[in-house]
Amino acid sequence: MIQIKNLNKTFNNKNGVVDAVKNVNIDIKDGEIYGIIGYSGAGKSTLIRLLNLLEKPDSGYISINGQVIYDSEGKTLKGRELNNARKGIGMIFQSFNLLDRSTVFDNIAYPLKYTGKSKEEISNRVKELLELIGLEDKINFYPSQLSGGQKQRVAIARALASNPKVLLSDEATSALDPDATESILSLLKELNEKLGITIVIITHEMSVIKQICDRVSVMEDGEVVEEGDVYEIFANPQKPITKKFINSASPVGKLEQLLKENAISSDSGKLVKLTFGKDAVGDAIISEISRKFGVNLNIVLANVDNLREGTLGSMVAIVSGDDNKVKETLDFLANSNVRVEVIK
Amino acid sequence: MEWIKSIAPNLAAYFKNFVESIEQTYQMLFWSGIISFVIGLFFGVILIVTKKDGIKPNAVIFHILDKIVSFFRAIPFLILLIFLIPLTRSIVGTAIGVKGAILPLVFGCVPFFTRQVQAALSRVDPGKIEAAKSMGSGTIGIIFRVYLHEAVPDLIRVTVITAISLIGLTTMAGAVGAGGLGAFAINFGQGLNHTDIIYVCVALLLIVVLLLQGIGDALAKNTTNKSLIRKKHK
Repeated sequence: MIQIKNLNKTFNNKNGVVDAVKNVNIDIKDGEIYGIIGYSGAGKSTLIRLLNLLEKPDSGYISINGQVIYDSEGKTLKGRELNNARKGIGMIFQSFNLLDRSTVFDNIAYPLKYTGKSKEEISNRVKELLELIGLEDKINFYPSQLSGGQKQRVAIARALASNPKVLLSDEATSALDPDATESILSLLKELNEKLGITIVIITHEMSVIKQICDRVSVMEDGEVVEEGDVYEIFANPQKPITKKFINSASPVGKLEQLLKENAISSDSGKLVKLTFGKDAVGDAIISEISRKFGVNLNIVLANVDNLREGTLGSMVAIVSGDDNKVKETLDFLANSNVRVEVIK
Repeated sequence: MEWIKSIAPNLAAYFKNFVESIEQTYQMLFWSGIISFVIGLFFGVILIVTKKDGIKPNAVIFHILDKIVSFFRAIPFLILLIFLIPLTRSIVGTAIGVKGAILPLVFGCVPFFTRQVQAALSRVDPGKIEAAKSMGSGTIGIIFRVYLHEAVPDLIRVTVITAISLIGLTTMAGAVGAGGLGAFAINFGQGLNHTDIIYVCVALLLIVVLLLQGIGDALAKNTTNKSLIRKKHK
């Protein structure tokens, strides 16, 4: 669906040349919700702008839905061709970017006007979209009369007006409160399921990735440092930055801070972090081991995440008791689909 | 007529000239205003579109136009009037009267208005431009459907500012032979030492400026975050 090969983009600024996007390769499948996460300055916003050529790449290859958008060794879209291709790629933004002097109707109708469609066709399509986003009663409102979440809904409807196959979302929930974020994310998920639209999401919040993405790329200094299924990444993160992002989205991530503040003492036993995969979450494994090995488990932190692919549990606990029994316990856990990390 | 005689006897004596001068000022204002509006808007748009990170960057066009605008902005109007006399003569046929004043007025007004339009358009959120691009809008589409559309309240404000400064310019043109209220105030008020004529001219100009400002402010307010005429969809 979306192929990105060896994509590069540099910017010149006062301090010299900055590699905003460095040798990025990503393959996004049809109908997938793909996340790209990174801190600000990681190059993720530049990357998404390269996809519809709002920024021009330095070198590499981009194709979307079988159409070559950019190829440094071949043909690159320009002028009218580019404008037509952009109609097949919707985009939503952090700051909504609606026209303040146009009503909700006219904002959504923007991409439909001057395309040879009749007034009636446009009106029907806009109403269809309003129904999809659940704002039929706001048809004659101006953006200044809407809440942030409603504005983003209108922006989504506008982006979908010309039936794009791809929706690019650039930090679309970053300016919203938690409730509005939640509702926008579920709307995106619903659109993905209903319309089969491929969605690319740029964010700095792991909770966004966790809630709706199938796969994710982690970006740092312009490069993709880790990529994979969201479930796999959460269950088994490799790079420090990925771990940091995951910790930021889970109560279990508080562990480091608690340890720093000496709020947990593991003098009585071993402090361990257990990660339960989707095959282990449902089992009564904790009571089983305390019965079987006669050890005590003191649960410090615990969390269950419902990812798209399944549930993922994590727990920080202090296992205390006879040294040999503790060792046996940990071996047993490791053999029953639980990832064990001894912290202290 | 009687009450005019009682409060401004000299004005009453020259009332015909007064009315004539109002008409001249009005004509200068109207014609140079319309021409300047069209040209200034066009130049302002060109500057915004062709600037370095504009929607159609073109360094050559931008820099040439930018320098021309700066050049004419730098010349005081009175000097510009004299400087342009040969050009005015060759184009209009005369350098005096209302006809001769319009060309220099346009030269004096356009650079000012161009800068004002440029400033108004550059206040349009670049995010809106980016969104329009992402929806496949071309250069013309973005100019009319985003820049000019979203900047309407600001454009109204700068038009009023420019119109008011243009009134000032017309009186200066009057001083060098274009007629109008400026010439009337100088020739009959100052020249014949009739202070009542000067007072009336000041009062009249004050009313016109306040009126313009009032209408402009109301229009700008009614076009901020909404369109002036609201179409309802069922």
